[in-house]
Amino acid sequence: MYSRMMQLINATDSRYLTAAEQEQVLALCAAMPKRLQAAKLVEQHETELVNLALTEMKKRYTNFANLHDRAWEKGFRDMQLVLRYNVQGMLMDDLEMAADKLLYWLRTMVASAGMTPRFMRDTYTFLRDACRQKLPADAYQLLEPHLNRTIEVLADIPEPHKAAV
Amino acid sequence: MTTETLAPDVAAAPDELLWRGNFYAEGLYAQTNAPQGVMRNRLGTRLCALTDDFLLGMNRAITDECGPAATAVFKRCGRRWGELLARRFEQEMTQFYGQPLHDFSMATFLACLVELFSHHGWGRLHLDLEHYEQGLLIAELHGAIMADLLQQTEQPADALFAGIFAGFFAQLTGEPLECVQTACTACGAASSQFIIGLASRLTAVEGWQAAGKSHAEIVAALAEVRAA
Repeated sequence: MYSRMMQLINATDSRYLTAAEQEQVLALCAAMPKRLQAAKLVEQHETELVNLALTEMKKRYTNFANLHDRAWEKGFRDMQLVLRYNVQGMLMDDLEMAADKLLYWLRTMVASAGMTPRFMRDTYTFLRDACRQKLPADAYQLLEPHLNRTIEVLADIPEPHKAAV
Repeated sequence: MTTETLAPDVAAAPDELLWRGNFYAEGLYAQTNAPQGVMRNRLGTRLCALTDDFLLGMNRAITDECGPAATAVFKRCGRRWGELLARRFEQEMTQFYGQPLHDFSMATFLACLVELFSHHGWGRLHLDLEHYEQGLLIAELHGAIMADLLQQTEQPADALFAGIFAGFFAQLTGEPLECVQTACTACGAASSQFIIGLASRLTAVEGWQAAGKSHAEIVAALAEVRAA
C-alpha cells in the first residue's frame, strides 16, 4: 500500500486528491486488515511451508547436498527470505517490491552458484504449492501473484556453464 | 537422500550472511536529507549524483587537456578510484553482514558487486567466470555510462571503468592486475566488455586490438598465453 499510496500522492503533485483518488485511498486502507491477517498466517506457518517445499526438492534433487556446503540449510534460509519479502510486497500491494529489494540480488547469486533455471522454477513452485496447500484460500489469493512473480524472476537465469544441482 | 524435516535450529544457521538480505535494496540503500542537502547510503557514506553534463564536461576537459594521453589519464584516475572503492566495499560489506568479505562465497560477492554497480547507475554488470581458472575475469557492462553518453566513438569510451576494474580487483586480491576494454557500445558492440588479468598477461592486447581482433578472439588468444 505504501507504494500504491505514494503513487497516488505523487500523482496529485501540488493539488488535493480528487473524489476518485480518495476512493482509491479508502479501498487500499480497507484491504489492509486482510493483508495483515494473511501476513500473520504466513509468519505462523513459515517453517512448515518452507519445509514442505524443501521435502519435495530433496526428493527431486538427490545429489544437491553433495555439491554445496550446507546446501539445504541455505536453501531453507533463501526460501524464508523470499517468503518474507513476498509478504512485504503483498502488504504494500507492490508486485515489484520483492524483486527490487531482494530477488535480482538473489538471482545473481544463484546463477553464479551453478543453479539451473529448472531448479529455481521447481524450488519456488514447490513453495507456492505449499502456500496453496496450507494457507486459507483468501490469504493465498493475496500472496499468489507475488509468488508467481518470484518464480518468473528467479527462474530467469541462463543455463550455467557447469550445473551444480 | 533423506527427506527429514529440518531441525528448528536451521533457522539459526551458522552462516548468517543472507539474513540481512540485500545491502543495496531499493528504498533502503540511499537516503537524501534535503534540508541539509546531503545524500548518504545506509551506513553513512556520503553520495552525490553526477549528471550527464558534468560527466561530458569532465570527459571533454581531460580529452582536450591531455590529447592522446587522455585514455591513460582516465584509466589512472579509475584505478585509484577502484582501489578506494574496493576498500569501502570491503568495509561496508563486512560491517553490514558481520562477516569479513574474504569469507563471502564467490556467489555472494558477485551478487553484491553487481548490485553496487546497478544501484549507483553505473550499468548492469555481468562477471563471466568461465576463464577464471586461466587467470582471466571477463566483465560485461550493459548501459556503461560514458559509452552511453558519448554514443559514437572510434576508441572504447570507458577507460575510467577499465581503471576501476583494475584497481578494484587488484586491491582485493593483492595481485598486480590490469584491465583492458575490448568492446564498447559506442563503437557499435552490443555491450561493453572488459578483460581483467595479470598485467604481464595483457600486454599484447593493445596490439591485437589495433590489428582488429574482436573481444572473443582476444579472449581465446589470451587463454593460450601464460603469465610471465
